[in-house]
Amino acid sequence: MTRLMATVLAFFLSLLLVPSASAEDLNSPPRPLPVKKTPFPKPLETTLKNGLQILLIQSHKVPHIAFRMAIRSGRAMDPALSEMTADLLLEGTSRQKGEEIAEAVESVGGALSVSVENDAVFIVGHFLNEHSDLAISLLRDVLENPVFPEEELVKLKKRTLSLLASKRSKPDFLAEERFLKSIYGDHPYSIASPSPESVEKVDREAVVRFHSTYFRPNNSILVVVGDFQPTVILSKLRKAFGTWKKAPIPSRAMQPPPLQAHRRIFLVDRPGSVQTALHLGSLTIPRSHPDFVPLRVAMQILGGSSSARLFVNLRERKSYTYGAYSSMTSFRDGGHYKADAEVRTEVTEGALKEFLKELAEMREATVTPSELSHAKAYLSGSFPLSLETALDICRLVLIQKLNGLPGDYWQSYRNRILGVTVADVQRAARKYITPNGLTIVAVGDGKKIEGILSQFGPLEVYDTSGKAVKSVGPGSTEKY
Amino acid sequence: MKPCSNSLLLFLIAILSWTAAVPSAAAESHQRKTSPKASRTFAVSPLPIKTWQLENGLRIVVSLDHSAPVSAVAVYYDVGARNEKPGKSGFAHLFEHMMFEGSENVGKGEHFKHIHEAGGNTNGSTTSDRTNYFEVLPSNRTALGIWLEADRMRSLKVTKENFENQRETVKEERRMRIDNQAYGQAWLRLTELAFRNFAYSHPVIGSMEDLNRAPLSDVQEFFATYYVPGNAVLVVVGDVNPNQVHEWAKLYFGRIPGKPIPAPVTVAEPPQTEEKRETIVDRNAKIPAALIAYHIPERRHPDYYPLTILEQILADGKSCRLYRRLVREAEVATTIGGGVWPFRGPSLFTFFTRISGKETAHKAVTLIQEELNQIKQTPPTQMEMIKAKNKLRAQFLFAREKVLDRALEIAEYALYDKDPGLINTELHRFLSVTPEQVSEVTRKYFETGNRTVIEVHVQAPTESRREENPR
Repeated sequence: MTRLMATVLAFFLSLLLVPSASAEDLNSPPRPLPVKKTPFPKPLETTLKNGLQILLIQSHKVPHIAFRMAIRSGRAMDPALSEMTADLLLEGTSRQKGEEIAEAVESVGGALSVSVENDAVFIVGHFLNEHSDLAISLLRDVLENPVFPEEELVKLKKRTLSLLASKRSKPDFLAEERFLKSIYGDHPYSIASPSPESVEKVDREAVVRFHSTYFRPNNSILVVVGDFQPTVILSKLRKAFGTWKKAPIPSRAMQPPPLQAHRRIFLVDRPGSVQTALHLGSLTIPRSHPDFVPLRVAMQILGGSSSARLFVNLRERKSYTYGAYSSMTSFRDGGHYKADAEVRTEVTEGALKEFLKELAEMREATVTPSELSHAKAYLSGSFPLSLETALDICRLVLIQKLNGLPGDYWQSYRNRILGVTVADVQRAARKYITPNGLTIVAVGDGKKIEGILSQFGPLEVYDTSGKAVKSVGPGSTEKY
Repeated sequence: MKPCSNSLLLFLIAILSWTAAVPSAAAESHQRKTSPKASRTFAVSPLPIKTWQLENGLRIVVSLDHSAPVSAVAVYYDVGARNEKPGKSGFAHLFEHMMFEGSENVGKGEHFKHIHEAGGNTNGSTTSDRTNYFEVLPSNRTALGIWLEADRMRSLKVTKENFENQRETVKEERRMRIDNQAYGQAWLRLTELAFRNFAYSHPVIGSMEDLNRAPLSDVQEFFATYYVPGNAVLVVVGDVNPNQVHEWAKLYFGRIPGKPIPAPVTVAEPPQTEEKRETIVDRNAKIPAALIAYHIPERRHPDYYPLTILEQILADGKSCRLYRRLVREAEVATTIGGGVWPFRGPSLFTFFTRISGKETAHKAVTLIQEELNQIKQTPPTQMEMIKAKNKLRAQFLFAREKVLDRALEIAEYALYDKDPGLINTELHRFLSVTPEQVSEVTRKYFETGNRTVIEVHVQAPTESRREENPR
């Protein structure tokens, strides 16, 4: 475009766009312009002969390539073993040492990391597209040729144990640990983080076995998003991963998590705490359950944002906390909802009462049509904001794949949200926000809050190391 | 009121690649099978920047990008904790909270409601150097963000009840972020000890005493002094029409009267000549740690660029020098991080490390100083320089993915440097740093006399047992 053309264009634009607003208009919010549709990009999908699923999406915003590979066997298989195996992938292969891998990645300004969730291990990469060959060869090398050096395992254990100890200083972690344990019982989803004992026990042989059992193409999905020609990148991926050997994957027989029969209250005694961290919630549903969307909307109304009920009540009205929210977390075989806040010790009782009141209200009373439309407008309207980065898109594609959601799940997501009715929300709230199955966890100064908590029901007390200390309180009389 | 740039025009800049200068032997020793291809050129389109200034002094910056139907609106005010006087710590941030409590056409809590209903997100933040407010929106709702920002700049409404509510909320924020967290007190103490000028030595969150006694009358006074159009910058980035944004800005912000701009604050810092050292017993912490700060000059000082390269070489990633030395080899620490903490005035270069097993913070601090001394004598290798620059280049490009990130960066340049176009040129200054310059700044700033060290000890088990009541 020439400078002259730009000037002419600017002139026309400014003529066309002079707004005509009266003084009155200045005092009310401007009306929306027509909505621009953002269809979720449709991936190009291929399955190699060895079973590896590959999904490609072009994105030309930045000259880069982002990938997220999922190995469908995560923390639920074995918390310590899956995490140690994943971490050791980057600590040495038959071709290069761990330091050389880090050096190779960082030399080009790339990123390569592993993470472990309940249902999968993820290997995530982000590189400039001029380094896509390097990215692919590194991914292949760490997946297929890790050697799990004994000395690196020893060092990793030491670092992991220290990080675990460090986590125990965080009220939020202590609350989450007790909360998941209560909700999921003996189910593998109950583990927030592997125990030091289980980390100590991991040996190289077990790591090698875990890798050779589960890190197989027929147990993996690779999503690549970036500025590339699909045919070019696909032929490179075929070449890199075509020889990766498939093997039978042991089936994962898992009982659904047990439903809790009574309200359970936990205190994690953290002497000297100036706040009480409160987590309340219960078991809900897997990600693929048809109630997921209505329950997601209910959670939005309850505490999904700074304009939702919990925030407005506990922060803006009562001044108990910096923030109170609720959220939903769902995995392949189960899920839970959680409402939480960190409140100053002195208002622990008041905050807990307000939480229980809000949960009861959500369950007993219908939401107003304006609350519903507000929540739906947020959830559907903000969807394009969650597609801004290539790694965001990779993540969403994998949620669909790992949870067995319909192929058009994200394409139709906004309409699903918009279709939810007041009755749907109440049905979901009644079904899942149940008083009996409720778990309450409080992390705080036991000397000050134990008596308060025990008024809400029988209390199980733990220390910050995770050890049960005692049970307090008579029977199951629930005062509130 | 005229556009100050013609950057509707997109053009390509080419920066000669330093990757081409990789000695092949070095590349090979690191990567036999997967050697990265050296790229010859680095072509990237600069972000288009258009600027205006309204008659009341408000500066407007727009950067368009049609790659996704989203936009970010950010307003930056030239006021932060550094403007606070002793006895009034935390007020700039407490005031930030008040900006969400209502204005003439927007009731308490309605700011959030309007934005969420539009499918957007909003927040604000305060640092020592500035206060910002921002919205990310589907681009068809950009005008809403501008209208909301204008309404509160024009007509903030303050009630005693809302003020008391936010005073308590901020105190909870302090408890959550500082008082109830491991190392929270140590970080506050580090700046307090390192800086002698109150502007930067006191915490943004403020002390509980000062928060408790902040009077309601200060709110309107603060608003009248600092929240004037000439003391602010409006930045809009995304799928918008720049001229239309300008029209909206004129319409909504144009009716706010211009007022004098507040006088700048003095942030000068006397040179430190002797090491400062303290030990803190942190009952929230489970792992001992060390925090170190060296004084360095302000952001964008000529030395800031080599110092940033030094940060990459020493303390970024798993192949950096300190990670190798402290974590992998000596196993003195389990984590090590650090780098430039940039202020508009005198700044810090900090390190934070968690100590391993039976090792001591003292040993970690000594090893860090040894690594610094090493660079004083021998400049970083060619390979290290290339790596550091490649990382900065990739970060620069990756940061373009989100409209908000871009808006915040542009707004900083617009407010601090009066030059939003720096977003297109700053990278080049990092890429021009030489290995000798890195050594030179290391010699200049990393003397032990210029250092402040906080050692964090965990409470001995016997102590904590004594404190607990026997049940």
